[in-house]
Amino acid sequence: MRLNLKASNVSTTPSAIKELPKRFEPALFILPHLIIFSVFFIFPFFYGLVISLYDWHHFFPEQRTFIGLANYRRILFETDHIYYEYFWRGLRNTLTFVALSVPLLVAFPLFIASLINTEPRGYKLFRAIFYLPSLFSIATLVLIWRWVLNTNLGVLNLTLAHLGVGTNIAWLSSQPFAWISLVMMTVWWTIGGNMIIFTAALKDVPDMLYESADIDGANLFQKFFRITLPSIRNQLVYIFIMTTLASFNVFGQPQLATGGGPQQTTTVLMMYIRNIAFGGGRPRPGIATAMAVCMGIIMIIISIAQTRIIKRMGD
Amino acid sequence: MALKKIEQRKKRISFWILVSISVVWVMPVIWVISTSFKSEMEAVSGGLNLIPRDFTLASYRFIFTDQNNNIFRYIRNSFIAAGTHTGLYLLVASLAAYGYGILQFKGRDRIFWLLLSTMMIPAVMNLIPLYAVMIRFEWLNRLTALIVPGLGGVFGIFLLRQFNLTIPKDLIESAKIDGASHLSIYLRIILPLTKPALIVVGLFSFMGNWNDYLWPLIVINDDAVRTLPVGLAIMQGNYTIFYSRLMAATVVSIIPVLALFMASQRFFIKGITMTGIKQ
Amino acid sequence: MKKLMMSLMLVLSIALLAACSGDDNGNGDGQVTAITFWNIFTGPDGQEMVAMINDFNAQHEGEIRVLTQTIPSADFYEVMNTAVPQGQGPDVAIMHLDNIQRYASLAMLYDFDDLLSGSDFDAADYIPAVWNAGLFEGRRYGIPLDVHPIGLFYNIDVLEAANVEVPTTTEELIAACEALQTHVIHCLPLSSMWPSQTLFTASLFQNDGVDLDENGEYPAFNTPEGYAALKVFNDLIFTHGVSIPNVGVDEDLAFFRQGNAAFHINGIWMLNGIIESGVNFGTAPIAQLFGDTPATWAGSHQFVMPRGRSVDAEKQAAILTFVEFITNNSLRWANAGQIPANLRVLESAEFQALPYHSTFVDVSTIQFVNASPYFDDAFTPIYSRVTAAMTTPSADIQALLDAAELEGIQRVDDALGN
Repeated sequence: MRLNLKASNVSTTPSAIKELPKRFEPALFILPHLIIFSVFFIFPFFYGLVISLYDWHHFFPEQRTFIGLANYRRILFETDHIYYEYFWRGLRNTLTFVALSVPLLVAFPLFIASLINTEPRGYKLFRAIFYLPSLFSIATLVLIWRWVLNTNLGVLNLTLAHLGVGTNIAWLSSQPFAWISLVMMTVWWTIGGNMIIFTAALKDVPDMLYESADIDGANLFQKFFRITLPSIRNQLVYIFIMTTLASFNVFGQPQLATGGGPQQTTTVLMMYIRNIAFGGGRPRPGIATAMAVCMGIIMIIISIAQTRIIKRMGD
Repeated sequence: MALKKIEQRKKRISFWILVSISVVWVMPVIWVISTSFKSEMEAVSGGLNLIPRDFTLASYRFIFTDQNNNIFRYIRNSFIAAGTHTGLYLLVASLAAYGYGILQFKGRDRIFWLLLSTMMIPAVMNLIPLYAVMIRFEWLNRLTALIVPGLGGVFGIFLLRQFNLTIPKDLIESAKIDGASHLSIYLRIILPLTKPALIVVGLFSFMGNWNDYLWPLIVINDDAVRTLPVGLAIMQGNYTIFYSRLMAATVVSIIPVLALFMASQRFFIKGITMTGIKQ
Repeated sequence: MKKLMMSLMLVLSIALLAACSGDDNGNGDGQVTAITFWNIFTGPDGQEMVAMINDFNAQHEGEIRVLTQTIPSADFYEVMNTAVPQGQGPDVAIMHLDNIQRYASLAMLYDFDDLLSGSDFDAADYIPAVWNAGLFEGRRYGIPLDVHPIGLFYNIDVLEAANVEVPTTTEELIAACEALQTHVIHCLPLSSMWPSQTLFTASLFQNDGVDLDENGEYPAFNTPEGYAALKVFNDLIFTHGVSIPNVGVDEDLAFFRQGNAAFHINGIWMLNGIIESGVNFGTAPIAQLFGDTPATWAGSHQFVMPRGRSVDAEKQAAILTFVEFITNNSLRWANAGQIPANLRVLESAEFQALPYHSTFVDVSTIQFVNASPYFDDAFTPIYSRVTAAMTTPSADIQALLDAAELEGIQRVDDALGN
C-alpha cells in the first residue's frame, strides 16, 4: 500500500508528547478501555452475583435483605413457587426456540451460500438481498411480519386462501403456528451474516479437491460431506456456537410479535427475567438475577460442549 | 469443454433457485411498501394487489404532520446515541488495539486473552446489575446510558488488533528510530493504515447500537430521549388499526439504515467475512 | 472510500452537535407554581386533555402552570416504578382504578385527605363504586376523572336490512347472528386478545361470579359461575359461530369500521374512532349479553399524587385547583369519548343529550373489579386463558380455570410473603 509516504511524516511530532515518560505509555493506550470495561462489565458481573443473594430492591437500599441462596432454591427446587414455574417454563420455551431455529439458521444460509458460490449472474445482488433484512431493528422486523402474518388481512393468509389451502391461520396466536412464525421471521432476519461467512469460507475450498473427487466419481452428497463440510469446519463451529448463543438470547420477536402467547407457550426466559426484574408493581430483581445467572451458566456449558463435540467429530 | 458446460449449467440452476427464493425474501418488504401507499380503507379491504388501486401519500403526509407522532425525534435520538457511541468506541478501541498489538509490555498477552475470554460470559448476567450501576450514576433516562456502557466491548479491539498485527514491524521500528513517540506512531501510521478495519468496526458498532432494543427498553422510559426501535414498538400500540400509517412509519424507519448500507455495502461484507475467518 | 469517510464524519458531527444542543428549560420566576402532570391519553382524548390544560393555564396565568407529558399506558407503570422512587415522578398523574391501591400499598402515592377536608369535593357527587376504589386503608389516594365501560356498537343499516332487533341476551344474540348470516360477512367478531379480558370480567359478573375473595387477596373465579362465564365465549365462537375464530387485536374494530360486521364490542373510548369511519351505527348496553344478572365492566381514570422527594403544600393546593377544574369540565371530556365520573355532569341535560353516550350503558349496572393491591397478581393470570378459550375449539375450560387460579394463588403467595 502507501506505506513509505506516511512514514515520512512521523518526525513532525509535538515535542511535549515526546517527553511523556515511556513506562506510562501502555497505560495511556489500554487504560481508557480497561476502566470502562471494569466499571460496566467486571463490576456488574460480581455485583450480579451479590444481588442474586438478596431480596433486592432497585431504589431503597434499606429494603434489601440478605437471604443467601433462597432465590436459587426457589427457582430451581421449590415446585409450588411461582418463580419455579416461570423459570422452568421460560427455559423450556427458550430451549424450544433454540432447537427449532439453530438447525435452520445454519443449514439455510449454507445452502444459499453454496448457490452464490457458483457465482451466477447477479450474485452480488442476491447476496445483498439476503443480507438486507439483518439491518432492520427488531421493531421494524416485527412490524413487517405482523402485517404479513395478520390473520385476516395478511398477504400470507390471503395468498393461501387464493390458492385454496388453509383459511385464516392464526399465525401468531395459536400453536404450532406461533413457533413457526417466530422461527420464520428469525430466519428471514438473521441469515445474512452467516451466509456471507459461509460464502467466504466456500471460496477458500481448493477446486482441486472437487476435481479429484470428480475423477473418483463421487456424487454431490459425497462431495458435500467429504470435502465441503470438513474444509469449512472452523467457520461451521464458529457459526454454530454464535447462532446458538444468539438464539438463547431471543427476546424481541416473542415480546413484540406473540406477546409470549398463546398461553405463555412462547414466553421465553429472557421475557420472564425482564418482567420480574422491572415490570409490574412489585419488581423482584433478586429472583430475576438468579435466573439470569442460571441462564448464563447453561449458555456457557452448552457452548463449551458444542466446541468439544464438533472438535471430536472432526478427529 | 464438457467441464465448462457443467459449470454453466450449475450457474444457471443456481441462478433460478436464487431468483425464486429472492422473490419470497423481498415479498414482505414489497407488501409493506405497497400498503403504505394505499388508503386505510384499501389496506383493510383484504385485496392481494401490490399496486395500490387508489395510490395515495396520505399516510406519509400523516406521519410527517401528526403531532403525536415522534418518529423523527426517535430517529434523531438514535443518531445521537449511535453516532456518539461509534465515535467514542473507535477511539477507545483503536487505542487499546494499539496497546495490545503494537506495544510491548509485561503481561500484555495475558491481559488480552483474559479480556477475550470474558466474551464467553453471556450479557444476560450483567443486565440487572448494570441497571443498578445506572441508578447509582443517575443515568436512567439519559442517552449516556446507551452510549457509555457499550464502550467496554472487546470484539472491536480484537478485530483491530488482528489488523495491527499485519502491519510490517519494520515500519514501526524505523519510525521509532526517527524518534517518533507511540502516540505519534498511532496517529500517523496505525490509524491511516487500519482505516478499512476502523470503518468495519465503526459500521458494526453503529448498527448494533442503532438496533438495540432490550437495553434501551429497560433504561429509557422518557419519550423525549427514546430511540427508534423502542419508539417504533410503542407507535405500533398507538396506531393499531391504521395499517397504512404504520407501514409508512416502517418504511421511514428503514430508510436511514438502507442509505448506510448502500454507501458501504462492501465494508459490511468485508467485516462479516473478517469476523468469521479469524478463528 | 473517501466519500464514505466523509459521510461518516458528517453523521458523527451531526450527532455531536445535536448532543450538545440539549434543550434547557429555564424555570420561570418564583411566582408561578409549576405542576408536572403525566397522562396516558395517546388518542383523540389526549388532544382534548391538552386543550383543557391550555384553557386551565390561560385562566391561571401567572399563578399556576401545568406542564403535561403523555406516556403510552403500556409503559406508564414501568415508568412510574423507576421514576417515583428516585424522586423524578410527576406532581400529579392519571392512573387506572385497579392500580391505585397497589401503588398506595407500596408507598408510592400521597393521599388527598388533608387537601380534601377544606374543599368542595363531595362523595355524594360521584358514582359510589368509583369513589370508593380510590380508598386504601381508610385514606383517599385517587380522585375519579371518568368511567369507561364497554358496550355494544351496532350497524343500523345492516340490522334494518335484515329486520333484526338489537340483541340484549345471549339467546337473542345467537338468533340475531343466524338471521344476519346472508346480510353481512361478520356478525360479532370477537378479538381473542385485548379487550377480551374486559368481556370475560363482564361475563363473570353477569354470571354471578366474583373476581377475588372477600379479603381482596386470592382468586375466587374458579367456580361454576366462572366456568359458565368462560364457556360462553367458547360456545359463541365454536358452537354458534357469531364470530370467526382467531380475530386479532383491533381486527374486530377494523371489520366494524369497514361495515363488514353487524356488531362490535369495545370501550366507549373507541367512540370517536367509529364515528370517523362513517358507518351508520347505534350503541346499546352489553349488560346481559353473557349472563342473566345485569352487569357491565368499566375502568376508571383517576388523578393520583405520586410521592416526591418532599411534600410541597403550595403545589398540592395548586394540584387540587387543577383537578377540580378538569373534573368540573368533564362534559368536554365526555366528548373525547369517556363517561364522566361526576354524577352532576352525568345527570346534566347536556350529557343526556349526547347521541351515543346515554344509550351505551346504564350506569347503575357498572361493576368494578375488586381493586385491591393484589388484584393484578390474583386476577390477571386468567387473561391468557380467556384467549385460549376463544382460540381452541375443544378447550378444556375447567383446566384453564385451574391453571389461572394456581398461578394467581402462587403470585399472591409471593406478594404476601407466604
